[in-house]
Amino acid sequence: MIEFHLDGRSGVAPYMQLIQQVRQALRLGLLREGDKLPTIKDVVAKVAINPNTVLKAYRELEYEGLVSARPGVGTFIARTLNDETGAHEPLREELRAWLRRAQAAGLDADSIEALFVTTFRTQLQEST
Amino acid sequence: MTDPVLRATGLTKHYGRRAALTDCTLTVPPGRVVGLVGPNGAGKTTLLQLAVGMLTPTAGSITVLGGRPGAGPAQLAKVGFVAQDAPTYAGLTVAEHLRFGRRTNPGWDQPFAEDRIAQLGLDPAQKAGRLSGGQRAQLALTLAVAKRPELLVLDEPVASLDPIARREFLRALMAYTAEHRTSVILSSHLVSDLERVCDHLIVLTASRVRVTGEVDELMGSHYRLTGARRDPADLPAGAEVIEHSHTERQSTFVVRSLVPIADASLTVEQLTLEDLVLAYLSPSLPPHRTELETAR
Amino acid sequence: MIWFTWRQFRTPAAITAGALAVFAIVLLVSGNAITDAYAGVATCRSDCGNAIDAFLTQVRNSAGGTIYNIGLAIMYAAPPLIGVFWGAPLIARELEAGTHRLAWNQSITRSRWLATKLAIVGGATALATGLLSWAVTTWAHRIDSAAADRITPLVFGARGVVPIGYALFAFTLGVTCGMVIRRTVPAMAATLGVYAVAVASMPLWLRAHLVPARHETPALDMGNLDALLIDQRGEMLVKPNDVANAWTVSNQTVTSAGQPFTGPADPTHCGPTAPMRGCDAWVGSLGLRQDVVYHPDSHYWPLQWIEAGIFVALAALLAAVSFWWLRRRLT
Repeated sequence: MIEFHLDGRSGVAPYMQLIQQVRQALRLGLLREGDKLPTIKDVVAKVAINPNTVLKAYRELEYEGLVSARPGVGTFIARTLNDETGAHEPLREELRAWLRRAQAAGLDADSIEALFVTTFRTQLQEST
Repeated sequence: MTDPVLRATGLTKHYGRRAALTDCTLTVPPGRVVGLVGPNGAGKTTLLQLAVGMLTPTAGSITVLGGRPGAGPAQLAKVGFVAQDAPTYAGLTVAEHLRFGRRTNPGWDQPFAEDRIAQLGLDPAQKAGRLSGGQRAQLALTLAVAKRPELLVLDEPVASLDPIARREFLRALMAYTAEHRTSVILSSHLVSDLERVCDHLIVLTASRVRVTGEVDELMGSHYRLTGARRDPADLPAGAEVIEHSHTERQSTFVVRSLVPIADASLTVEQLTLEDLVLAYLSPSLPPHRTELETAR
Repeated sequence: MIWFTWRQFRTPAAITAGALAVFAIVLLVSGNAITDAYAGVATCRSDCGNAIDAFLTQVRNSAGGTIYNIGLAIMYAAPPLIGVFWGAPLIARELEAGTHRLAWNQSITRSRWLATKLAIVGGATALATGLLSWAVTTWAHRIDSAAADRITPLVFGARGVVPIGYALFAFTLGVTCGMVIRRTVPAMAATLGVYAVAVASMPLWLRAHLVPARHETPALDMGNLDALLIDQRGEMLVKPNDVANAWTVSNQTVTSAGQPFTGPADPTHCGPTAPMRGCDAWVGSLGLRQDVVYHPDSHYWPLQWIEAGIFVALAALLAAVSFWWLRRRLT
């Protein structure tokens, strides 16, 4: 079973963090198809968050088709994300190449990270 | 909106000359965990005590669950209250506290109360004066929820607790809320606790309500804008300035806007709940702003 | 709420019950000695004055005398102690500790909360004081009748139903002070102060007027004088004896015109060179009268009931004030 945690400082909304953690667990293979997610009550008893937040996250995941809720039984993983891994490898190669170019240009680790994060955030905003 | 759990209209409370609460108008929807936040002395305790009938208003009105607060046993049974510092009878044991609750509340659920006490690891024969602060808070919460109220009101329940006890209290509270769908209003001057726990917010400073609304909507409608030094009036239309600060070259604004900010010369950022509340607490706010409420 | 009030009152009640039990045993044991000593009075037929004096002396010089005084002390101390230790903390302690915020959120109204507390502890007050007063009055019954002084101020307030009135007054006074002052120790002090003033005022100024006193002006009986004094300037003080078996409120010698008699002494009859009996005879010839205001023993019960009634009425008034204060008060 997956265990959730909240990062109060990340600036990401709590329900979004839960969704991201489910996705990450799927990616890493910690959650598989058919696995049961903890009940809302179990989640809030471990992590002191609002039950509506968990409900919202689970609903969003259900809307995306990642989980399915069976009334009276629980919420279960419906499919994995692995279908998307096909797109990962080429992207990873491109990223490696870019990092090599950034290092060759003389950027240190922090500058690379800052450049990446700000561009990433701006890109995210523009696309929503 | 379905029947609100709390509706206040022009609610005012004076102690002699001192105004503890001035002209508060707000509506709290049901089924939420509502955070009441503000600095010490803002009027949080006054508002909560008016809601449970400990105080009577000087002017204006307040109805809770459709009734006048404190008006008779039926109304008292609907609202559970834990006052600041979770008062308990030091000379009475935990079990005797439960017995007190059972004798004075017709809706008392004794098996539920005993089960909670056991789960919390409290010794029923232990005198309340010997419990730790966190245990007393948990006992007080048990007393408030065991009578099966529709609304729970908690006045700074975790203010004097250490971080572990604080987290445990909030976890227990959330677990209870998850199971029973009770409405909760809790006050705190620690904003970081509230972001994870509350889905509705009321900000109170200097006896007035500054802003109130669903947390998601507030988060989605407030932004931090940074850019070259400029006047607040030069901001895009629809952006209402909550806070502003300037250096020689740079201006920073916290604004509220129902439409996305379309100005490329400004960097637009999301705020944490803490930043949002702090922006409303800052003195750069005009003093006679009326309370804002997000449209539902 | 009844169980809860009793639970909070448990310890003071137990202590008081224990103390009363101990005192009751003391009274029981010493009661026998009193009865034995009274045998002489019980059997006397005529001129019992000597037998009575002998009885009283015997009692005073024995353990019975000490217990008599302890009884007086306890009867006067019990009501203010109740006011201070049962009354003042009843509400003040909850307000001070903030536990009223817990109590007032249960499904009972504040008025019912206060009413239960007042009824249970007030009832205990009446019961404890009633038992105490009954025990002491019964124990001292023979001494009181021999000394014929039960209506005099010192004994009156320690007998019968008056102590119950004092105790109920002290209790409700304590409760009201506690509610208004909101802190236990200052409320205790205030209760004690107000109680002392109220209860001292009664015999000093009020009690004599509760029932119309008897006012008589018989001829001065030279054989019934308490004192006859002459000072250097010739001013005289002729003090008649107080009325037996009564409470003498005022007692003085007056002239036939009604003015207090202060002399002057006639040196030929009352000077240093005059014969002893001559002064008496001369005073007797002046036609003086005794102006006495007194309550005979037959006024004992009327005074008891009226005074107790006044204090019970005060207690009821204070209870009403405390309910009103509770409703109008805010935290």
